[in-house]
Amino acid sequence: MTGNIFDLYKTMKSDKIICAYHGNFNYDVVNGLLKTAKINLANPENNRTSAKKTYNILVECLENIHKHSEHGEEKTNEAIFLLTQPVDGFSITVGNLMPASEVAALGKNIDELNNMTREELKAHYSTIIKNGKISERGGAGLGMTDIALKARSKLNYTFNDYSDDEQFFSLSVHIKNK
Amino acid sequence: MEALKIEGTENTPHIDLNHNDHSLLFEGDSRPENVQQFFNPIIAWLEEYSKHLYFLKDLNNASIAIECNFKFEYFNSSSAKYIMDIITKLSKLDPSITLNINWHYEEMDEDMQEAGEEFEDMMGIKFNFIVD
Repeated sequence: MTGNIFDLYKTMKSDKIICAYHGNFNYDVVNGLLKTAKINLANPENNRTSAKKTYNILVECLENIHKHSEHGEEKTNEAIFLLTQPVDGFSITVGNLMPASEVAALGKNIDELNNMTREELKAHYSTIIKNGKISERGGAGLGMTDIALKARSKLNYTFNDYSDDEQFFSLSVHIKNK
Repeated sequence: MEALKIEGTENTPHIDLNHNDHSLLFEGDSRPENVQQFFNPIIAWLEEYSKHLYFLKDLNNASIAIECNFKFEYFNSSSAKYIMDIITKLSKLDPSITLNINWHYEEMDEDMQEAGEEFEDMMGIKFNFIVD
């Protein structure tokens, strides 16, 4: 085990991972992670605009997991999150299991957002915020659109086979320094 | 009616709504665990305030000016929905009432600036943008 953690340390160092977590995502955990990320992002050497933007996007990404990734018999929100600092900015990657039956709709939603111009994204956001209702899970249905608007870059995503009825969904958002 | 004051926490904004001097303040981070529970009393207060203003303007025929300050550091997308509801309520007040909406943001925070511009566009009300 000590050897494994050394490997993990080397990977985290070489991949410039400044914050990472794997486990259950409840509200308190999300709060703790945001606080930790905020401290790391506040490093005075960082570009302040992209650091603040990264925080803004991170909140939506982590809240998305907290609100939407409940799965399995025990209804856990097990997921993984990485915040990395490539030379040109920051990168957020999150991954969680989700019902295979919901994969197609989510993929279609992200593809549509990726194909929108900035003006179309704004119009889309405006339509949802004006007509949407707050769901039982406390979401306004705006999360992914909000992420796309703030990121100003395409949202990268992948689905991996996990079990007969579950897929592993990963989302990566790259925030470039200004 | 009574003024509404809610102390801010790490995840919920400081709220100070005063019907006597017509000052409304929303300040800090907004990502409450239960967004409905947090914002419903604020929406209810604004409904009361709207009735209060209706009688007040007939009563003293005085000019009323509302000073509304949004000083958010961050708000999540479900809070955005409620912020829009708040601005909608304000936009429906009697046109004889002067409404000053001040949208504060830090210079480096282009997302907060844009969020204000988006609300301004959607609601068709002029905001004052203030760089803190």
